[in-house]
Amino acid sequence: MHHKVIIFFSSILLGLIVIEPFIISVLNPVAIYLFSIVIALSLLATIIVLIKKINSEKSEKEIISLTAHQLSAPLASIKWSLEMLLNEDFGPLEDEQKIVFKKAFERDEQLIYLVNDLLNASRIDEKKYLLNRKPQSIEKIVMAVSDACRDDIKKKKIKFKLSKLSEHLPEINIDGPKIKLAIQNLFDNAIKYTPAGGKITASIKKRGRYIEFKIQDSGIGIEKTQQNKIFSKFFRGGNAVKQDPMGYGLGLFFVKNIIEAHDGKVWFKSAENEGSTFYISLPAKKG
Amino acid sequence: MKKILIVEDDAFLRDLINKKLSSAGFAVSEAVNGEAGLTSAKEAKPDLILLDLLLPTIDGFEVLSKLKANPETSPIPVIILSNLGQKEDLDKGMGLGAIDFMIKAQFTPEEIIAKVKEVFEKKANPVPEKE
Repeated sequence: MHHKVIIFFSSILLGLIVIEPFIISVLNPVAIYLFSIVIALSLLATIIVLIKKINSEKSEKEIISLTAHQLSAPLASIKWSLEMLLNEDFGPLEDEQKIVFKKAFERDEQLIYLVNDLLNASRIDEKKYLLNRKPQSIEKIVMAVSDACRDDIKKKKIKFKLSKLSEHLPEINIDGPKIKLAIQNLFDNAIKYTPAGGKITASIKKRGRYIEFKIQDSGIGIEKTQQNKIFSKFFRGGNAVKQDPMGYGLGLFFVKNIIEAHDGKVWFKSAENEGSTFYISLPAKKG
Repeated sequence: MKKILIVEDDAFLRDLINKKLSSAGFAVSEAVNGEAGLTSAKEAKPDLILLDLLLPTIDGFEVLSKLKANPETSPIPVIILSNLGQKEDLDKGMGLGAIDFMIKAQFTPEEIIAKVKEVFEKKANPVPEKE
């Protein structure tokens, strides 16, 4: 709501208080009395609007917190059972079974991160949230993500190329799992929205005092009038919804959040039915 | 053989961790809520307690306070198992005397066993205090 409503009422109130001494000096007692009632009502209106705003924010946070709790318990039990199955605590496994359980375990871990991020994002109001930063190689993270995606890329017969365009990429101070999630989201989008037989190229390079990661696809692209909303929480492009009705619209919101929390930037170029190119740049200083 | 008490209301998780602990050579006892946990701790005197925070009647923190308030049970090391990792919960748990705080979704049963063994190791070989 409602920033505008609060500003409106507060301004009226302030205006009335400012002209009050003038009013008192020129009007008769009845008018003064009526004037005071108007001030009191404006004050009341401002307070009511503020309380409603605080309450609605609070219940949204409570709902998210409760949901996060409810989700993390079953996610933990899935993680535990998969780990024990993989560990052959319930009997020996065939190689193919191990691969499937491992993938399920990885997907479950991602969900766990997502739930945690959702909770953190709601608590800290779309700003920076707790990062555990350590010097790491972003190149390793990108390679790990692209390896994990190889099967999906192969299945869709997409031509994929990852290139390192700078000889030496320094380690940078980043929260590994969160950056991995950001890169994973960009890869997932590129794969999801690129039709079979299409093309995805990714590259990492050092650009001045930044390391830049770029991923270009030949997919459905983002329609021009929707481009300015693409990083908003829960926003999904019209053509994206048609392609994949099940998405939440959180992927890019998290990417922006995570990258900006690292003092980095994320941006994109896109044309409908031609494809999108997403860029991430992160400061290369270790500090 | 070391005895471990699991206080956890989720039957599936309880069974999984029980199986893991038993395979690792520990004697395991279970409690499905806080009161049962307190009774079991007093009677069986386990060597370590794995304590869930979200329990049906009295919550994990209350169980922990009661365990530490009772001289019979206060020396037993307690590892808290929590669903979420809010800093306030961590600080509160450690402040009440837990020896460790583990978020269920961030650790695997294997890692929990390793932590349990580590606690017993440290107890057996305490680092000598510097004068």
